[in-house]
Amino acid sequence: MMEKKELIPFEIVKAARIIGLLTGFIILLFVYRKIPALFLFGGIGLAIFADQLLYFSLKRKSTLQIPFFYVQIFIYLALISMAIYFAGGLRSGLFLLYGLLLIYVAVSRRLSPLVVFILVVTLAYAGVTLPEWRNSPTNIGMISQRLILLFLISVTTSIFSRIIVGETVKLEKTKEDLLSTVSHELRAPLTSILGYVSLLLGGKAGALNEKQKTFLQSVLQQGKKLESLVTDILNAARPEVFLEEKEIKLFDLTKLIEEVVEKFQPVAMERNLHLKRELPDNILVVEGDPARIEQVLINLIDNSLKYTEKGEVSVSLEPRDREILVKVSDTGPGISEEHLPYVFEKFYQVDGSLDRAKGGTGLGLAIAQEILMSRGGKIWIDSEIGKGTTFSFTLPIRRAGEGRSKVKQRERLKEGARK
Amino acid sequence: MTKVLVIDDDLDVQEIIKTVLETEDFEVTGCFNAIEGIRTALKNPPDIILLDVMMAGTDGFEACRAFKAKEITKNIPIVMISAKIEPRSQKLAKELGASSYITKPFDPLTLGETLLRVIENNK
Repeated sequence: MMEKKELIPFEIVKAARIIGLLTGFIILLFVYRKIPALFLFGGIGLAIFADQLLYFSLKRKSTLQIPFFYVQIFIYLALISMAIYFAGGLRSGLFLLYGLLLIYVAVSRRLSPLVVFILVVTLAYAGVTLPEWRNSPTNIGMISQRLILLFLISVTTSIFSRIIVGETVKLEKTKEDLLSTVSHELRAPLTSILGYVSLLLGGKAGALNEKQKTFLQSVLQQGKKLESLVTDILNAARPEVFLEEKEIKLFDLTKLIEEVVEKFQPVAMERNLHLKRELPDNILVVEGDPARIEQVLINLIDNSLKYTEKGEVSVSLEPRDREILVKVSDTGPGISEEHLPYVFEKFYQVDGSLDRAKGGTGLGLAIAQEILMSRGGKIWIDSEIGKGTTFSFTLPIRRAGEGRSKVKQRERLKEGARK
Repeated sequence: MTKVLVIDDDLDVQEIIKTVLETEDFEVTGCFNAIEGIRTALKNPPDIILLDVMMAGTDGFEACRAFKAKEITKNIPIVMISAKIEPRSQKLAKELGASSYITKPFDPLTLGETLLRVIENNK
């Protein structure tokens, strides 16, 4: 479950990651002449390794978040201490880098780890300047002054960031609560409207003439559309809702695709489009909640049918070594290059507005992406103006005998290596 | 005649369910809150209970727990009917012993069929 929200926006942590790496390299630049090559390469290796660990710690579902974070911080600490030692101990101004690290801990963790970390920094600094203060009491005073300065900076940062982050979290929470209440509250009137219309159409309130029937059909159809919009809004407000798997089981993906395509045939016919499928004959077993994967397929096919004026939409399935590749291609107008990086963003519409003719909230693709990513899959888009658009996604195949967690870990590793 | 007890604080939902089920050989009793519903069920046990989740006072989950704890009602199948579409709510309903979960808006025309199937499976 994703109850726990990240306290710091992903972007800020990402920026911190880059600053951290840059700092590491600047240090190496300072000291490369003074230390043996082995240390230099070891240092670079450690920095990259640490950064990768940090990356994993950001993966949303990671259970190893805390240890990774600390390992990373301590590697950076070691690098900085090493740099100070080689740059001349007390004479070097590099001790300010401790401040950066402390600020980093301050904005991303609570106060108590910060206090522990300050103690560790004190020890480290005392360690690297050992020869200088052992014989000279005045130097102890200088070290204390510097450490107190760092302490004050980091505690102040921590308090301020707590206030800011607290406000942000509160605001986010209010927004989510509002959206989810709205979504639930909208269902009540919709239940009445759709319920009565169904009764009328079912002849439960007397016979209807053709015109009345046609009108009510429209009400029913539009009402159902409204219902799916309301569901989308709920999904956007609380992604954990649709990422949650109600039941995890082994299911046949070929059959699932067949069923979804079948469901869309009437829609395709109405729009004069040819909806075809290219599926292998054999059964392809995947593990997961079929309802989630079905949602991905529905969102993609619905999207393609909506934006294609003439021609066809085809769904194909291709088993690969360790994954299954699914493609949904259309002969629609295509999407220009400038829009491509954003199509998976929430509420993004290629024409820049809520297109009244097409309908939709701009959430379908964002939802599809979140579902796939949480299952170790990928989704991407290829498009050419005038030719059409292809959405492709992959799902890992789970072979018998492999534990779930093991598979997940490996997937994460693979993804990390790709970044 | 299959006896159905509908517990939902929405007048329209009651009306819709009554209208459709009474044409299909069901006897429908409606209650607007959980306490009233539990009292009615104890006095006159129905064959199946349709239970809303989000109600003022005692909610559907608590009511479900109460039904399953009482000797008279514990074997009556319960169908939850709710605007909460989250898998989590559906899971919770299942854990509390509900036999089925219908999300709102629902199709009234297939409701009778669903209820009969649940009763059949519960035997």
